[in-house]
Amino acid sequence: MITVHTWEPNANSGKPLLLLKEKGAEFDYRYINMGALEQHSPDYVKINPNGTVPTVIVDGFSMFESTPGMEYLDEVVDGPGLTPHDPYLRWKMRWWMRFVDEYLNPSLAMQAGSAAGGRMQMSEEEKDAAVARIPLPERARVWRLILDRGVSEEELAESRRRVTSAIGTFETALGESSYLAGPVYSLADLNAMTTLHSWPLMRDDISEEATPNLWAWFRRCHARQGIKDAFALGRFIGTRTGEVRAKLGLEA
Amino acid sequence: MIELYHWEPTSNSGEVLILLKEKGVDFVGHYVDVLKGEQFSADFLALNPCGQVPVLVHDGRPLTETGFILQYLEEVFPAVSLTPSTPEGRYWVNVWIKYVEEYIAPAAWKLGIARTVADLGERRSVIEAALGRAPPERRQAWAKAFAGFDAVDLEIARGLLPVRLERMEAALGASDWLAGDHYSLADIAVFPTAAALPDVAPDLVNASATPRTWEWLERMRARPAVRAALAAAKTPRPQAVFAPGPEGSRWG
Repeated sequence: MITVHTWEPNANSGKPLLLLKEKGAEFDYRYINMGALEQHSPDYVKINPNGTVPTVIVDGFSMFESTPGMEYLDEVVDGPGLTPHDPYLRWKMRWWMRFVDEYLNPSLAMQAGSAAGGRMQMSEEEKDAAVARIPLPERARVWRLILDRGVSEEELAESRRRVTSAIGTFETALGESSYLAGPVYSLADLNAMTTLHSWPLMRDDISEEATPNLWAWFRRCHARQGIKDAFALGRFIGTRTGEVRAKLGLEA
Repeated sequence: MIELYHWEPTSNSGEVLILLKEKGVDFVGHYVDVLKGEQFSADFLALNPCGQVPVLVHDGRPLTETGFILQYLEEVFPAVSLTPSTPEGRYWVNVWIKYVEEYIAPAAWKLGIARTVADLGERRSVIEAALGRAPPERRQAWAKAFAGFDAVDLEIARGLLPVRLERMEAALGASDWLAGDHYSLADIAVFPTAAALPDVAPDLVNASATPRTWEWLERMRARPAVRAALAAAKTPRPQAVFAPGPEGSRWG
């Protein structure tokens, strides 16, 4: 019995959804509306005291960490394996997951947070409200310090440089193999897709001409039934990924 | 053939040195003095463009990212097994590897580096000269270390620790070891960085605030492999010297 408490099939929230759909597994999807801060609601905090998504529960075993949770699910859930057998390729798979989780995602989050209306533009009252519901007091206190400190122009410029650099890293690697961790689709691709899925639509620096290897990888990934099924679960991400597929020349 | 490019048997380098000793795997070690900027030599950057130790070279292929080097060695040399026997235990190994990278290591180096910088003497100009060849991420991290962290930076860094320390105490209340009933990769991943905490956060990690962690540190130091790894140190108190490490989680 698998229960997934999560938001849209996007970023960390999307990891268990993309994985379980790839496996064709049955699971109970409980939608947590992050727009309404449901991840901090008293009922949810009983399930996950960190107040983060996703929470994956398998036969009573609760997991709050999304990337380690993917390796667990790949191991225990029936269906096609998503981890290479060769130890070197397994290392590579984990390298890519960390690259996305620790290098790319924080840079993207910094840019999203600094855009108009983002959390770095908040008033004092909005900052108070934003941290008031964070369930761990220690984290709430630190979050308030982070919000007060804000993000400098220099840091923003650096986050843009890192994203551009990451695109180059993807493009080079995907010239050497069809997928990130070798010739076969793995958790590394699945992890990256939860973040990158709409780049062909949203970013001018991603195109068939500018990034042909990455573009071909997007076509291969978006053509997968598991990916399609997972994005279709979303209340709004699915509409956008439909447009992405059209732009990639794939069937709706 | 196994080669390891490493610094002192502390933090990241310490993890791999301990595991190799535990497994009794012969290797050729190359000491890289990161306080002399040797990680930014042209030869080393050819091996790891990120300019960080440790790097494991197996059959000519360089591997980076410490936690994943541990998992690779475990898969390639399984005779002495340090992997938990259950998927739940293996999930926790991955989680502890993540906790080190995102919470414990960023807190430890940011809290500890001021003293290392103060003690550098003439080596500071040697590092500054070598930084001309370093990738931007490392240049930025050293620039912050040289400039010094202010009180708010240090408070944010310290804020990474309490929740992880609670989890360590909880895990070590259920068993002598972090990921299940037996000594495992999780203990090896956490120990070299956690061993620095009594120095850099003495009010948070001590015999009365974190008694189980305190005893676990003692248990770890008593292991022959850990003693052997630590005995190879070139500085008198390797747990008290730092180089800039990962940036730390901005969420959760």
